[in-house]
Amino acid sequence: MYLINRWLNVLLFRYLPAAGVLSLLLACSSGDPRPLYESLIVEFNDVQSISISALNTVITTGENQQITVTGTTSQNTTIDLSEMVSWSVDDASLAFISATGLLQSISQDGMVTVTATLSGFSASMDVTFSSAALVSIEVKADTLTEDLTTSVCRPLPLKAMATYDDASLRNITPAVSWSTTTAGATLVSDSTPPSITHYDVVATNVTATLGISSPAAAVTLVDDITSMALSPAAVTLTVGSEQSFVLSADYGSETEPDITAAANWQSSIPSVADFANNDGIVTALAVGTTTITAACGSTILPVSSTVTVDVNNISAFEIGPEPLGFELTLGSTQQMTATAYYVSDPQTPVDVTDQVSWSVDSGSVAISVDSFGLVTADALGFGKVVASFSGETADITVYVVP
Amino acid sequence: MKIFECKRVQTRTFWFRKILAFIVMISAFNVHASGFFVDVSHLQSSVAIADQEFKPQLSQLGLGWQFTDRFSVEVSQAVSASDDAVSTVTAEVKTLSSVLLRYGSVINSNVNTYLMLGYSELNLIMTGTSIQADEQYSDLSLGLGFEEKIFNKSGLRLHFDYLVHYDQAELTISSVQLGLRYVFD
Repeated sequence: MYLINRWLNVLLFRYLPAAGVLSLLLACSSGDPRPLYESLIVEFNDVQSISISALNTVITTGENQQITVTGTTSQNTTIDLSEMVSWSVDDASLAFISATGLLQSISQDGMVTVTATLSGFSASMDVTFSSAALVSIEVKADTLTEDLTTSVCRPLPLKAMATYDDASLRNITPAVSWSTTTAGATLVSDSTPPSITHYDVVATNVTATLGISSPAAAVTLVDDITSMALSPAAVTLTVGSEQSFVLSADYGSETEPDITAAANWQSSIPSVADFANNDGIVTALAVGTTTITAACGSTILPVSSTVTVDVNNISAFEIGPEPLGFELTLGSTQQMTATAYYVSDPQTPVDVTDQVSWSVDSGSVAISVDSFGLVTADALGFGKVVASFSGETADITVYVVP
Repeated sequence: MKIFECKRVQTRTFWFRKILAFIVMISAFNVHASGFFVDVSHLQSSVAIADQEFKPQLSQLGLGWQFTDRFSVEVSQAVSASDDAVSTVTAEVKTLSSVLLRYGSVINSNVNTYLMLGYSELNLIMTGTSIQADEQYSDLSLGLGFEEKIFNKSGLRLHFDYLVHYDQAELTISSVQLGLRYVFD
């Protein structure tokens, strides 16, 4: 056995390195899984046909554009296949395309045909690269009618259409920056598409800028809400906690389940609870009760909800150092502590020592306490330290000994 | 694409030479516990493709030579034990052939852990409503595992391995293996 092993070791030492390298080269991956992958994509997604599209068929030379392939299933639903198809361009000197369909123009004007294939399906489109200069920008609604009209509290999708000096009209929405000077208008520019909303019927303008600015486009607001609902109707909070409210609206023919972000939110007593932002999230600031209202338009009265900031949300309140009382030698001092447990998290102690109102029981001459909870043993005898916090009180007997 | 593949081969070659030289050096100075071994295993494979995972099973027979407690070489052949279906598609690994170098550390007299490096070739069959695929794939294989002696004075060992047999962008084929290995000391 030993001789066999030694012989094999020598064989290994002399010949296996070369054999290993050779086998490694042979071991280099073989078999192309791409056709099988594409067949499975078609099978799993029940793809019956594919179509190709892009934001523009003319783009500025040197820039890039995402090309999208959409598959249609036998149920007539659609699926984005852009990252699953095989992409190609017919003129590699003008552009190249990534595996995800991002078409990158190289440096010269011209036209390429982009083709996407997927297991027997194929779709193509022509894309032109042009060095034409931007002439003007116009803001339109990103809807079928392109009409800049919407209801109060209802986002209006926007798009920016540009005219170039080669007479081409291009959608430049992703490239422009958006602005509005209308107070209370919510402009969401990082969504796709961008949108603008307002909670009231006021003159609302929006502008798109890409080197040059578009004329301010006036958005027409229609006050056609027939009813609104606010949830929850009432809530009790502890100081410092937050509550999100949801506002829904009925526009007659349609219901919007959530127009929270577009509404105008107000608190009747902001010192009790208020909104840090106009987003339906209220923060409890002090003990008391306030009414919050959400308004959209003027036809329907604002809907309201009651917010009570209540001390009863404290589940336990105790003071120390010894809940059942403790001894102090005459002339010595002891720092008191106060701990609160909240209903929202009854297992977690919260140190509220510096928020407590400290006092001694009337008739207790043996001790005194300052506003920070420091007890001093003034005379032999005993006395009671009393702590008050958010309506809760607790006391401890202190025995002063020689 | 071709340039990328060549670079990858060069990188693999570099590391393979390093690993191989190390293995040969170790084995040249350590000649204890050598002998032939046979291996019978059950494989639960994983065929991951198109965001789906198939888990066909295989039965495997292996033969090998153990140079030391640390280093061995094994040739194995697995055949399909069962296929697996996801939605309308059924996958079966009909055959799986592997050549593996195994190098590890001896934790104690009964337990070894090891790394595996080698080459696998497999036959994957997929059938569906619009698919009839019968494909051959091969690739460098990498894995790790451990074995434990079942009886102190016996060459019988229980082993558990994880191996990646094929790993390309759209397709990954791996397996977990549970088996018995008998070493003829």
